[in-house]
Amino acid sequence: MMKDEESDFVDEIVQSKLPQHTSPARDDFQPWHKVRKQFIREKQWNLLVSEMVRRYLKRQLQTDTTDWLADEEESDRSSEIPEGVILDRPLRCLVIPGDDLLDLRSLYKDTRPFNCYIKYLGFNQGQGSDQKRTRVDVANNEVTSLKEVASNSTVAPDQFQSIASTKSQAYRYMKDYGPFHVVNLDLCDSLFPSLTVDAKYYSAIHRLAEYQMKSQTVPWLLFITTQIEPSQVSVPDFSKMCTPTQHNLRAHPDFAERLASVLPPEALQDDGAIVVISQLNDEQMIFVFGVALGKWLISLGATSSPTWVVEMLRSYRYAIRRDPFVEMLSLAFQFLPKFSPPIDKTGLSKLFVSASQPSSELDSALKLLTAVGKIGDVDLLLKADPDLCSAMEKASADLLESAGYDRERYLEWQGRYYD
Amino acid sequence: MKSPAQSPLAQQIRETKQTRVPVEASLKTDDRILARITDGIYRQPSSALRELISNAYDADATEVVILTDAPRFSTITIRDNGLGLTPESLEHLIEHIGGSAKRTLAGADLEVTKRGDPTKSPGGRKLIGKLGIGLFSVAQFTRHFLVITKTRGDRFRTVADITLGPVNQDERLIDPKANGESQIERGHARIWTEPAPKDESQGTEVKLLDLLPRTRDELASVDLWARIDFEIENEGRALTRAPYFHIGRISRKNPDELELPPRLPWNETHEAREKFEMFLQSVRVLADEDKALVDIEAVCDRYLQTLWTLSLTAPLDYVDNHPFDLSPDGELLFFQLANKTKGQAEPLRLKLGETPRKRLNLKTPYLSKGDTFEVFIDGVQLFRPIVFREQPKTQSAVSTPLAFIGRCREEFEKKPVDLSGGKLDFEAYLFWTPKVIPTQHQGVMIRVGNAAGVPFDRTFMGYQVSEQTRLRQITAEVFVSEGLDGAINLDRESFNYAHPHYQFLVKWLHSAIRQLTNRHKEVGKELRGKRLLEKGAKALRKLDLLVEQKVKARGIEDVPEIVLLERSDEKSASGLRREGKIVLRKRLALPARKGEKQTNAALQSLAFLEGKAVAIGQILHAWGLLEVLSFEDQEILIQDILEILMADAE
Repeated sequence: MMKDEESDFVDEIVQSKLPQHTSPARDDFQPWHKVRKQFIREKQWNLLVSEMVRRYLKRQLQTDTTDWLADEEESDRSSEIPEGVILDRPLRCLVIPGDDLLDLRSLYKDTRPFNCYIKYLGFNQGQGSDQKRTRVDVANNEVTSLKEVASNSTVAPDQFQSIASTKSQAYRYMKDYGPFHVVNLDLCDSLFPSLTVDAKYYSAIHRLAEYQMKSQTVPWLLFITTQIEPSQVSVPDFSKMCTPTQHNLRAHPDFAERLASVLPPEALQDDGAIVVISQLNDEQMIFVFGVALGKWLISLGATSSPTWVVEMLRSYRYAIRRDPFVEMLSLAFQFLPKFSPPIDKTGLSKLFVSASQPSSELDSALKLLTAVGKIGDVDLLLKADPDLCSAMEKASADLLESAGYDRERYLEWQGRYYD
Repeated sequence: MKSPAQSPLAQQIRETKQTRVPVEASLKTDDRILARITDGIYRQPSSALRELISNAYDADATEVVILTDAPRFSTITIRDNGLGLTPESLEHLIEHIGGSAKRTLAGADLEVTKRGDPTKSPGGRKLIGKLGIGLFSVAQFTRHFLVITKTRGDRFRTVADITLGPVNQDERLIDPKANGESQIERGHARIWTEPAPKDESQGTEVKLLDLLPRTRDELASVDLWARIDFEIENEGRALTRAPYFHIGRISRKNPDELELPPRLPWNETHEAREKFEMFLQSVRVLADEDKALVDIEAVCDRYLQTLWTLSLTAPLDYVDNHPFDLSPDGELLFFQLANKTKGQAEPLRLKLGETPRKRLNLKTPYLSKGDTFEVFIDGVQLFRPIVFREQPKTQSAVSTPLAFIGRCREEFEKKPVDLSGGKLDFEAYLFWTPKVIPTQHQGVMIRVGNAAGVPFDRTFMGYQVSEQTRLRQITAEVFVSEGLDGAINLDRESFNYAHPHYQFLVKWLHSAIRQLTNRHKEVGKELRGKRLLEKGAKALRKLDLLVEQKVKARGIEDVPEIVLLERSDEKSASGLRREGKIVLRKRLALPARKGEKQTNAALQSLAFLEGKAVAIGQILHAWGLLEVLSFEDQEILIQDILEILMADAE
């Protein structure tokens, strides 16, 4: 008997896989549970965010209920205002948060003194029956139920890189939750132009910068954590990345001079203009990468209108491996808007308003060189300061315990690592 | 014939053959039907969201946040800050689907109901749910979901990973109990706790995983877009109008990209409340501009329709005022409905600043002071989108909206409670307006305990009288505070028509519509009359001035008075003439008017004709042409002139 032709309707109706139960998270400790990561959280991310809030955003954000009440003309509303926060003026964060949302928990704790109300958008691709996803969901439930965290904060089941396309769901998420005050890209893979990693992060960061520079009106921070493995460098990509740096080399003797003090003469060609990548050792490559990435961000800020001045703030590094050399870089950049004041050329107004000095690309570049030169080594810092180390260890244990980890087991694991 | 396995009852029945004594037996239900609930008994995805919102309300939540990744719909999260579930209440929920502890004495022990009142939440809200099947409405979306819940002060949160059992297969019987009852396995849960800081936080999150393809398509309006694609492919152009507002369209090639960006009534910079207000405003403006857009289905895609439907049915605040809190300002006429079959609605004359609530002591929505309940979907705060101000204007005579307000408490005192279903108590309004926007708001909505299962019933519970136009101009809501619960069907989307409470409501509503109709007709007639009178009076005044002017031109200062007499008054003619008045008998002076209805307009034109008769008489008199004629000839001459004038006019 002839078999009936098969229909093609089924896929639209029935799923192929039976749902799978997920399981509770186990205490499987990861590199980002180490003390040095806690140092990055507290001494870099949280500290810089706190400084920015204190310096620039106090009036922008709802830092204190009495603060904004004073702005309201009618004080009779005060009786209706519940404790805490009702206005939509949160500290907006875009993060790649990992499964336990440790960084957000830590940020929450350290911004408590400012009464910051945090709203976050995270990107983490796991979905549905995916085992890891449940862990994210539980953590997300916990963090959003904190009093000063917006309950519609979310971790989207997308990759951060997807925002590069304006058609992507991820881009929509970004627009719905932005513009941001803090962007923390704690990357799983690498920004380093490498043979092994196919990183599409540059387009995504470009898109992010485009969106932020168009929509944000106040200073914002960008943290980038990336692994660097110089032995895997893709020379053509790295050279492309160095283009803005090379422009400075050619155009600015000051810049060239300072760079020459850090790099070996062989790395600079006769005219002192070209960085010869093959001549760099691992350390120097990290240096050049930091400068190149910073220069790239500076050039993005300088070409937008209004322009944004980009500065590298306190940044750190720590070793992953010595042979082959693999290093983790945790960079911080601050974006400051630069608006030009209105100038009356007719002389009708008696007011004297001086035109703003165009931000000097060279100034930014020189500052960047200094900042890259000051990148701190977390391992050395912790080793040199046992008190700091044990404080970080305690903080890390507290944090992990709050996320449901066993404190004793953690301390044991952490101790083993340091022995 | 061999008898089948005999139950004790069957045995007893057989035995009556000898004993001749009837057997007594109770009717009992079987779990099998309830087990079906986990397969899904609802018709639309919005039903599941509605049920989960209701659960949050019953748990005394003040906020519900629903997050989707529309239009992809890979996941949906429903997060509330309600009381949360203790392991005990979670056990009850999972092991007794359909055996809710709500509204039972066990409810207070499980802390899901108020002590001493099983019909209320611990915080005092009237419970919406009662069966404990609401959670399983998620079967509409998925066969796999996560419940994460925490109660205040607990040092842990409970996580339940639940998968629903096989679709449409024989249920597996498990756990036969000592008393012979059996339970049916309809799914599986893996449950654990996660440590949490001891804090004030509480709430329940339901996360829907692995959404069913069909539901995703439905939410994303896939059918609609596919039809438009098909038309473009086959006809060269779209015959179906794309929705004016939509959430965008997911690419058919890459599920993480949109091939059509969203077009929404708001943008990202608007705050949650503003977004909804802009949505409502756009719907109203579009309906005003384009007839085809009075229907929300033409304006919005399925996602936005779902938002709208939820905003109508959930226990929310009105976007402006509750209808009972409207105050008189001349823009609105109030009436109070009678609770009698032949009753008439009486005008409710409210003082300035007085509201129907104050005057009639209305209690809806029965929330304790300061109690709030807010629902957010993807950053949009929902409100009941029903407004009573700034109604659209049309050509109809009555342009002032009419609000009919009623309250009724029926104790069924003289009837056995087993037959009546107990007390029924409700408040209601019927709002008449020239044009109801959107059309989805035509009809009546029944809210029990502040929530409704379905939006407006456009048949008005089967109102039979042909009042098509007027019915389309009515929005009505009935707020039931006691009773009717028993008449709600399992899915809460329909009623058991046979239930006495439902029947009572039908009668009450139909009487209310009749009262509205009568008052509306009356108001219309009065308004039309008034308007014509105003118009007529103005015309007559003009005529008077004209005569005065003409007469003055002839050098006469006093315009003579002319009296028109009805047939019944003709006897007084000679007396009036002696007083120096000119008298015209209407039956002779006015042209005959046959078969005309006594409408306002006809009366009006008659009044004007009479005015003309008087004016002509006055002019003829001023020219000295009247006194040369006999009284009767005077009247015939005036009639002739009027007839010629009328012929001219026609």
